[in-house]
Amino acid sequence: MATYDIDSWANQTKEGKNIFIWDFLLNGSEFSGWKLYDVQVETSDSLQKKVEYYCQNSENKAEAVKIDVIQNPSWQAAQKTLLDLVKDHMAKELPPFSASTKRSLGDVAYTGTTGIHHVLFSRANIVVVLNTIGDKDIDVAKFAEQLDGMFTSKPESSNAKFSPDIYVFELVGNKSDQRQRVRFEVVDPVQNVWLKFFCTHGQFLQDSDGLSWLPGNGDGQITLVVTNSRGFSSSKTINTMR
Amino acid sequence: MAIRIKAIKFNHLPGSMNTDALEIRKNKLTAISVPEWVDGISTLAQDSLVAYAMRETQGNTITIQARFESTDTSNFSVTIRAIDPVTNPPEPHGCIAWLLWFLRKIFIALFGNVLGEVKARTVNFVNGQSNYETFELLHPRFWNTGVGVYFTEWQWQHRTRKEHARKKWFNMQRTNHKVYILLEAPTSPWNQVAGSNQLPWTEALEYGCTWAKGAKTRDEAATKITESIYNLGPSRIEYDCPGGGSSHYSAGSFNCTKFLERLSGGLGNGKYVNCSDCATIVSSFANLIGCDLWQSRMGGFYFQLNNIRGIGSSVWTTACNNWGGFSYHEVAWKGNCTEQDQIFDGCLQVDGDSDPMTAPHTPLLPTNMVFGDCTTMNYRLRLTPNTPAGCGSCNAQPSTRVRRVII
Repeated sequence: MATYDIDSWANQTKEGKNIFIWDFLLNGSEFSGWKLYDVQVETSDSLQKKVEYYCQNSENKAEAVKIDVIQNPSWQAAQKTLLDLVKDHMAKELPPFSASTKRSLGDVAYTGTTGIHHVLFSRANIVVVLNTIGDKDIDVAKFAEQLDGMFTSKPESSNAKFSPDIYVFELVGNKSDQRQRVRFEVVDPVQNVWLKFFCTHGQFLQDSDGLSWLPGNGDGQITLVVTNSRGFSSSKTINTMR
Repeated sequence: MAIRIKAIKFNHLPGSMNTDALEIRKNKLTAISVPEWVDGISTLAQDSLVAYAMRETQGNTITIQARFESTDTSNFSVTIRAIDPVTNPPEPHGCIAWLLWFLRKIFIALFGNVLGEVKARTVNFVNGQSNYETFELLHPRFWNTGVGVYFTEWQWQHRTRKEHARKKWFNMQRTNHKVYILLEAPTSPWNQVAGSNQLPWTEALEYGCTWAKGAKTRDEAATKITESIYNLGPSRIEYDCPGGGSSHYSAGSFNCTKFLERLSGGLGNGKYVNCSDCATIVSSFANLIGCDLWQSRMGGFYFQLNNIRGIGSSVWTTACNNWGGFSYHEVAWKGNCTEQDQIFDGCLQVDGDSDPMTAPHTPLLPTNMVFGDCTTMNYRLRLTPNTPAGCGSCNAQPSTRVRRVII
């Protein structure tokens, strides 16, 4: 009997199937009162990309959190990554986040066995692992929930003066194709940017050539949201027709 | 005429470790360049780091290379050597000299430089400069001291042929060197490939050689390292009960950089570790000084435990009070990682008495212990109850054996 049922995870996943996160980044200002003091990027030959963020409470140095953000090529790949991670715990079974907190998080989420000092969740193609690493154990749920909000929120375009520019955003390929290439070019002269893609149906898939959209049924929209490291965003939406 | 030593090369034979020093680096990002000692730059022993493997150099003549400079820009020759200033007091005269010579021999054997002294040889100068000249080391004694971190100080001296007749030496500079003595050449994942970031890190050798101080065999060294790592709890690390036994330093690679940060008083990746972390730390530090251990798993889905004492805990429990068992366990393992092979477990103590299933418990850290089966009292029957859900479900998983890359 499997302890973790990845098929039931897929069945319960709704919102995350229609989102794709590209090159997510934290600059440290996201968590008020906390300072980002180290960032480690783990290189890999695969499409998976892992970035480890180390944050410390500016007021209390004994409080620190490590946040691992793992980008995967699809939401299914993210859930497979999450499965590997939860199975790599020595405890027989981790409690679901909802059982520990009575709140929901991500598409699938678990906590450690005591307190909320350790959280793992997947949302769309992203897996996040949070750990308290300071001398004082702290609840990391608030960081997890804030990150999940960043993944799922669809902000309006900000002040154009500080916002990134979306030069190109289009679908390439036959509308009848099973897969259409998503072409995009975004520029921010000063800041690094990260991207969110939302679709009203279908799903996204990354391969070595870039990002594709696998259509679902009917007409709909695809939206690109670009956010720079100062938090300013631009967005653009295109209509899809079958 | 003033002569100065300008540079010393210890690792002067690329690809060799039988008669010279090993290839090393400071850490993942910082290399150590050759010459390891440079006049004007290397002032403290920490500025001149070198490492030698006991087994590979055993019985061989160890050599170094050194280069010199003179204020006399003519072409000439002098004899140059380096002595241990601690064990070479000024020479006495009279009948007491022989007695002091004898006492000095004993003193050198006990307290002298592990690298011994530098044998005198003639050095030619052209326009006040010498080439790199090869010197032999006299009476190195690290084959007797065993693994460790040692300091060597040399008083460099020179004399001309005329001064030779008067038995008079002139002092040049003193040089100081920090010497890491390893059992053998490091084994995988560490290597001896020039430029690799898997070359032995001196920041890791600092701990590995200290933990295994005095060891002369692989088993002795691995045992000392396992004990030292278990004893890091609870002050520096402890078992990850709150997180459910998650890997914090060994997920994919061994984040040695963060672990070293933790050891030196920083946060690193936090205080919590699991069995994979401990297995990886034990085997990586042991292999760094020449042991040959794997990280390998047992179990597969879930197996029940006897009472154990996890790292950092003083309580006997079946893991974290109520777990009852582990979904898997991982240890440092010898050979093919089968049930016939020995393990080193830096993560937990088992009950070492004749009945590990019941109290009272006698703490025993498993070192060089055969993994075993469910009929003989070895590691497996100390870790798990002799039941189908315990010992019967805790099989060696040699297909999982791995040596995580060091980052």
